[in-house]
This record gives sequence, C-alpha cells and structure tokens, in this order.
Amino acid sequence: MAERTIYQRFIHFSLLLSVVLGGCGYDRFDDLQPADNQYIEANIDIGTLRTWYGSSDEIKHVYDDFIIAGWVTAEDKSDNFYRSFIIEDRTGAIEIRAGFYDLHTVFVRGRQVMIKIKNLDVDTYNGVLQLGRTRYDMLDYIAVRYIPGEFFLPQKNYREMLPRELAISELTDEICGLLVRLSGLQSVDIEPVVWSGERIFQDGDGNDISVVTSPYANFANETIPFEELEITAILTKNANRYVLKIRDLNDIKIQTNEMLL
Amino acid sequence: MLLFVVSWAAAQSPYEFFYNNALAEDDARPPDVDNELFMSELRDGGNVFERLAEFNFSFARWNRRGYERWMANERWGGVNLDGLVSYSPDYQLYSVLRGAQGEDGFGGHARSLVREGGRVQALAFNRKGQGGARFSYGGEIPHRDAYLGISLSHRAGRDPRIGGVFMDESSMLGAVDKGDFSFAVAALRSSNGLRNYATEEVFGLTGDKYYNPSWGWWGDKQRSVRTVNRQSVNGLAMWSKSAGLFHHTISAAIRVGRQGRGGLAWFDAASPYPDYYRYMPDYELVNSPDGWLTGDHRVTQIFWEQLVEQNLNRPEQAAYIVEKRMEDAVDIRFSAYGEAMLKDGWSMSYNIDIQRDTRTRYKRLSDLLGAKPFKDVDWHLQGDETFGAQDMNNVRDPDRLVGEGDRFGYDYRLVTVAADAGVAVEYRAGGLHLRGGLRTGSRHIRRHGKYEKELFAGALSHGKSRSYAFNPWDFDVSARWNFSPRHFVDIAGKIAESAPYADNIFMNPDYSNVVIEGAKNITMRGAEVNYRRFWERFGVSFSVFWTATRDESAIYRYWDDIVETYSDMIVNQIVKRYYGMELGIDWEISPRFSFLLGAAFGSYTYGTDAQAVISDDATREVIPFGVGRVHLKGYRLATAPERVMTAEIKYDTWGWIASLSASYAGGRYVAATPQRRMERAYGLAGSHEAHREFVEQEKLPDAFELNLFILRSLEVKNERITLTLAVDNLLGKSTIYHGYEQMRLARSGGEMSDTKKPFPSKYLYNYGRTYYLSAIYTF
Repeated sequence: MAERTIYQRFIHFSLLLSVVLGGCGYDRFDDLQPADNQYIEANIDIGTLRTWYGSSDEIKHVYDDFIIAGWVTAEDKSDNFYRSFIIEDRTGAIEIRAGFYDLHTVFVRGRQVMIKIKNLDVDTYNGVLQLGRTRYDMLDYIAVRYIPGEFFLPQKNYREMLPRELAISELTDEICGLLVRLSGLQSVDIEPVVWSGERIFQDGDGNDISVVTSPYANFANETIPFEELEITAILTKNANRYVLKIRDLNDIKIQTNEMLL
Repeated sequence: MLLFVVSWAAAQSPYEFFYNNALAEDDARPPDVDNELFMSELRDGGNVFERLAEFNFSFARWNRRGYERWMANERWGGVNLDGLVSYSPDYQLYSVLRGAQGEDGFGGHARSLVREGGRVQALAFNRKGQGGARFSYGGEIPHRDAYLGISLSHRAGRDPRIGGVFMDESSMLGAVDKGDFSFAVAALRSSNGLRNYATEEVFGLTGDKYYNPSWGWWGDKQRSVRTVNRQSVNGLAMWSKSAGLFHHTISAAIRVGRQGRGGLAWFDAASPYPDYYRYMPDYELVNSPDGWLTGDHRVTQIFWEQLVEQNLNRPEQAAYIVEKRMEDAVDIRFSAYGEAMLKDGWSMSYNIDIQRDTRTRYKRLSDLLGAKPFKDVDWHLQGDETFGAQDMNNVRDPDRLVGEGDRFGYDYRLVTVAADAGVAVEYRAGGLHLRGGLRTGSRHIRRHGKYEKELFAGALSHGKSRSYAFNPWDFDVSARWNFSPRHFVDIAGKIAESAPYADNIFMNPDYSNVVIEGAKNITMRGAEVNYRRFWERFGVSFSVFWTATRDESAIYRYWDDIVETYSDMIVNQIVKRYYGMELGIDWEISPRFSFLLGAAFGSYTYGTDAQAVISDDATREVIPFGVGRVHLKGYRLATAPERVMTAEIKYDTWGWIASLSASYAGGRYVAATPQRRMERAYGLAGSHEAHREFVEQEKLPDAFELNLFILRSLEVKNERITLTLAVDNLLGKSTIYHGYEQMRLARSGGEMSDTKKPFPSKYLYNYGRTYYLSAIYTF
C-alpha cells in the first residue's frame, strides 16, 4: 500500500515536471514585418516650392498641407553631411535638416521620400533650399529621433540618381542643391593636400570651383589626387563662387586618357 | 520563560517559511544571505533586528550594515556557494534551498531540504503578474532505509503594471539520505524580463514612476531586451559521520550552468533606446516632448518595426541586432569539515576547501532582425576614417560570417582555483565562551582567450595568460560571557585579506590578457559587540559594529566624454568604513499580541581619497590628465540607508497570525561615481552650480512603508490548509528604491564650449501596493 502511494505521487510529480520543463515562452518571437509607410501623393514639387519661397532672405513658414516628394541624393553616411539629407525631383533639390543621427540607415541614397511640410519652415543657405524648423530666428533641425509618418514617409521605391553633367561655366544658382558631375578638374595645390577644408579646383578653361569637406568626414584626411578628376557632388554656392560637396570618395574618379577622349 | 520560547518558535516557523518565499525571490531585492562580516560560532540567531530586517526593508536598497554583497558568504552542505570569478550568486538556487537554511548556511540533508510529508502550494502575486505552483514530498523509501525528498516549482507571469517585465522560473530538487550519505540535485531554469533605471525627466514626461525603457511592441507582444535566461544543474554529495566526540563532514559539489543576458547592439546607426539622452527634450530644444506626453509607443519604447526596416535598408551590414552575453559555468567544490570535543571545555574544528570555477564567456547572436549574416569585426573600435577600424575580433578565423546562434565578439575562459584551510579552537568554562580561528589559502587566476583579437595580437588576447596568485587569510577571535542562558554579551574581532575576483584584475577580460597594475588582496578589519537580554515577556538586543576595508580596486569601462574615447578607469586604494549600531526589541504584550522593533543607525562611507588611472581602451595609453586623485573621502557608499527603523505589531493565536509593520529608511544617497570626483572632470564645470552638480552627492527622500500580513491555518481531517495574504506598501507610495550617477558628461555651453555638466542620475522606483496570495495544502 505504501509503495502504491509513492507511485501515485510519482505520477503527480511527472505531470508537474512537464509544466516545469516547458516554460512560458515570454522570450520567444516570430519574425516581424518592418515598419511600412502609406503612399501619399505629393502636391507640390520642389521647383514650385523654391518659386514660392522666392528670393527673400527671410524664413518662410508653411501653413498649407503641402507634401513634397523626392529621391535621396546625399545623406550622412560618410559624415560630410551632418544630420541632414538632400532629395531632388525633376524640378529641383532641397536639403532636409532632419536632425537625426545616422539617418542614412533610413534615408538611403536613391530612396523615394515623401515629406509633409506643413508647420515646417523653408529657407536657403549657400544657395540650397532648406527645410527645417525655426528656433531663435534661425532654421534649425526638425527632430532628433525619426518617427515614421510624423513628417517623413520613406517609400520602398528606389532609383539610381544620375547627376547632371555640366561644365563650370554652365552652373547657375537655380540648380544649387542638385547632384552634378564636372570633369577635367584638377587641384590647384602644388603640395599634396587632404580633402578637409575648402580646396580649389580648376577646369581646362581656367575656371575655378571649390570643393568643401567637413573635417568630420570619414575621408577628410585622404590626399587629393594630382590627376584630372571627374567629381560628382551636390552643388552649393558660397559668396560668388560655386562650391561642390561630395558624398564620399566614390564621387571622385581619376580621369584616364580614354575618359578624356 | 520556557513556554514563551516554545510558542514563539512555533509561530515563527510557518510565518517565515511562507513570507520568505513570497518576497525573497524577486529580482528587485535578492534573498538575504549571511553577510555578517564577523560571523562567529557564538551567533545564536536570536537577533530581533536581523529577523525583522530580513523582510521589512525591501522598499529600499538595503544591505545589512552597509556591507557590499560580495562580502556575503553562503554554503550548502558545507561547500562554498560563492563564486570565485565574480560576485554572481544564484538567488534561484538560494530560494530552492531556503527551506533548509540554518545557521551554517543551507543544509545538505534531504530531510532538511524537503520536509517529511506532502505539500502543494498555489500562489498569486500581482508583482510581475505571477501565478505559480509548488509541490514537494518527502518520506522514507520503503525497505530501503533511506529518505527521499522531491520538490518542483513553477512560477510565471507578466507584470500588469510594468511593460517588458516578466518572469518564468522552474525548479526541480531531488534529495536522498542514505546512511551517512546525502545526495541532492537541483535543476533550475529561469527567464526574466527586467526593468531598467531611468531619469526623472523620463518619469516626468511619461507620468509613470514604473516606466521601463527596455522593451517595445513586437506585433502585439511585448518584447524586452533586458532579459536574463539561466539554466543550471547543481549536484551535492555529502558524507557526515559522528563518532563519540568527533564529527566530520565531507562534501563534493558540482554546478554546471549557463546564463545569457540579452541586449541590443547597433553599428553605425542611432541608439534604439527611447530614453537615449540625445532624444530627450532636456538635451536639445529640437526634441519635442509631444510623443512622450501622448504616450506614442514609437517614441516611448523601443520601436522594433523600425529597427527591422533599417536593417533591410542595410543588406551589407546589420544596423541592429539582439545579442546575448553568455556565461557557461562549471564549478567544482570539495569541502571537509570536522570538529572534536576535547577535554576540559576545549574543542577544535578544521575546514578545508578546494574549489575550481570556470566561466566561459562569449557573445551569441540571438536575432539578426531581418539582416544578413555579417563579418565578426569590432564595431566600436575607433581609429580610422570609417566608423570604427573594423578590426577582426578573431584573426584566427578571418572574415567569418556570423549568423543567428553563432558566437561572436569575444570568447574566453576565466579560471580560478582556490585551496583554503582553517582551524579554530574554542574554550567553554561556565558562562565563558572563547573562540579563535585562523584560515589561509591561495587563489590562482588565469584567463584563456579563444579569440585572437586583431587589435591585441598574439598572447595579448589569445591563449593562456600568466597565472596570478593571491593568498587570502583571516583571523578571528571572539568571546562571550553568559550572565545567564538568556543574558549575554559577546565581542568579536577579525582581520582578513580577501582575494579579488578574476573580473577585477583583468583590465578588460572580454578581450585582453592584460591585468591591472597593483591588483592585491583587499584588507578587512573590524569588531563588533553584541548584547542581548531576554526577560519573561521582553527581550532586547543591541549591537555595535565597526569595519574598514582598504586596497580595494574597481574598474570602470566607459565612454569618456572629455577625451571622447572608450576608456578604462582603474580606481585603486579604495578605503571604506562601516560603523553603527543595531537595536532590537521583542515585547510580548499579551499571549496573543507582541510588539517588535528594529532600528539601525550607521555610517557607510569612503574613508579616504583614492587614486585613478584612466587609459585609452584601444591603445592602453594613459589619457591626458588620466592619473590623479579621486576625491572620495566622506562620500556615502549608498549600499544602505543610514537610518532604518521598523516596528511590527503581531497577533498570533492558534490558526491565525496577523501582523502590521511600519518601516522607515532615511539617510539614503545616490551611488557616487568616482569619475566625477577627479579634477579633470569637475574642473570643467562652467559655474558654481555646475561644480556642485559634479561633486555633491544627491540625497534621496526618506522612504516609508506599511505592510500587512495575514496567515490562516486550518486543520481538515488531519491535513492542513494554510492561507496567506501579504499586502506590501499598503499606502501605495512611490518612493525611489535606488539611484546611481551616470558616468557620461554633456557639453554645458553649446557646441563649441569646453565646459561640461554631468548627465542626470538614474533611478528605480519601489513597486506600488503589492498583493501576495498563497494556499498550501499539507498532507
């Protein structure tokens, strides 16, 4: 009789054992679908926004439910652009002073982005149209943390953004902010210099153009080649000189004789 | 007098057993182990303060006498349970063994581990939303002349109040006594989601003192990143023999365990943690508080969907992953203890311990979050133009791709071998009881790197390090004078040197065989005087203690905002002082009512300034102004409130126990970080106010708690049902449980300014009102 009691209890024990060994799975998860944004139609193009902004030096506030759309041409992957990215459409380009850190993980180059610009502010800096928020009478960043749908709706569409191939003499204020490509440029420095700071280049016709690089860029301390270069960059303007800002060293191509031909 | 003792003991037993298990297993306050530095053979366990304090100060960070927890010493069946590599007690094991707790640690006999008879318990606890069951049975095995005890328990739940907090724990215990031998095996598994500390700014924005930043919505489920998973099997074999005036116990134990601590890692991407300082409105004006105020979970919690989305944008390199810091443990213990009653009141005892602890640590990739396998490179090493030099973590397996379940980052083993022997002599004559003990031994510590890190090539990171030896010892004396069996005074003193943990001698054990300079034993000295007197209905106990430690070292591995690099700060010559008094009163007002009072007043401070050396983690070079004095003298250790008091009124009659206790903790401080107390840091304060922020130690508000406990025991056909209700924090007050200073510094005067200010401190709040319900059927 006593043995039977022991065995009965052993059965109870075994039943509880199965519970004990199982665990409740609070720390087990299936795959998760990534965050997705709805697609909304843009109702104003960047060129029209620039026209709306006009030529004043004043910051303009956007009161209307405007939505712009564009494709990312430059971001902060190499740290030459800081907390901002640039989009362009067929009509122009605009720098988005987003304020996020490491924003290239969201605003990937070539990605289509819709932006709800109501209650944001527009200004120009170095000839480039900018979107941000006004603080202390200056155009500041929009936010530090990216929240999908708050202002930005990155889409799943990607496009390789081709630069406009131009000569220095063909540059105009209207195309500041766009991705451009200039060839036959050579550094005027005789001694080897690095990219960091403002560097002057000259084309075959003797026209000058600057290339500006942030000291925080991950290529800032790379030496500029002596050879003739083909440079792809975002066009900006400082005083009366056009200025190029490259995104990374992939934007620099040493021109071979074949290319020159 | 005798009647009082018997009735009191009978009442205490169920009370302690049930109440103990209710609260002690929670992560916010681990079960108390014996951390009396001067534990002597004279201790009788009758200290009222000790009994009260064990349960009543759970609302504040409280270590008895302010002692650090590593000073604790816990044994099971004679073998030492303390880890040698780091202070890493297994509280779940303590909980399982708790029923067998005695004065010399946890008992190893099956009879003490599992009581005779059967017991089924069901419990519910709103803290962590726990529901659970426990089953145990102990009895003689027929015709085998042996005793068998088995115990099973399972508790699980998700906290209804605090997101991301859950528990899921199971245990099995089997124990057998056969003749002079005892065997026990305890198998444990647990999975816990823990709460994290946060700043007052976050608590204010969310309006939630229990805000937890460490989780986010994963679809419709809460997913926490601050998780701890543990599994272990613990075996004990013990032989005890008493013959005449001699008694010997020989024990051997093994522990095989695995632990994984979850966390998020990211590379060239923004911090995924919602309360990251740059995201907070106090840090930058551009940060809107709107999302916090509206409770937008994409702002207030980890936004998992976004992390997955960003990973898909980065096919060449994951931006975010979930990793686990793993630790595999194999601990082997051997212990021999014996005592002999000699002639004329003399007795002596010996103790031999041989131990070997192995900890294998590595990172395991838990979840790629949709990314592709990546190369095992150092994500955080600076040094070239790209983000991180991306040196290989293991040049012996170059360009290896890391997928889910793989090891990466680091992989090494720490081994500590210890051998100790001690002898004690006691003398008793009339009311006099004297004791003296001496113990000495050796520790050998080494690291075995399995990866060869590109940054620290060859023997700097790979292979066996040199073996580092330490020789701890301790010497204690104590004397007691018994005026009567219920009236005595004792005095005890001790000097000792304790070996440092392996974790505290290697500069960065995760990837380097390099040890810090000047690693040495920690010296401890101290004394205590205890006085106890019990009358028929009234008892009082009073203790005065003093302890000092010196030559302690601490290593901080952190991001230094002054030189903007990952740094290792070694603080040497730390001196700590603990002194104070404890008072306990036990008054039996009537046969049914009693009043208990416990109070302690103490001072737990750094005794002198310390010395620090700060090195660049990658180059090992001392950073500018990295050597200097740390002005710690007089700062509080913040290991315990300086003033605690608890009063309890208890009603105790056959079948009923009820108690109401009120407890107070004052003189509480935020734990101070040494980094701020160096001139290189506080010299950067831009104003008097900022200077004060650097050097002043924040005092926490006093805390108060009211607790209720009711126990009802029923006899039904010779079987017993015991119902328990415990309501803690009856008033539902939110008080800070503990706080600490962050090591980071922020610019205080704009982007171009050189002045700094400390980051705000982080806090953890005590739980609100909690309810614990238990029903036990004993057969």
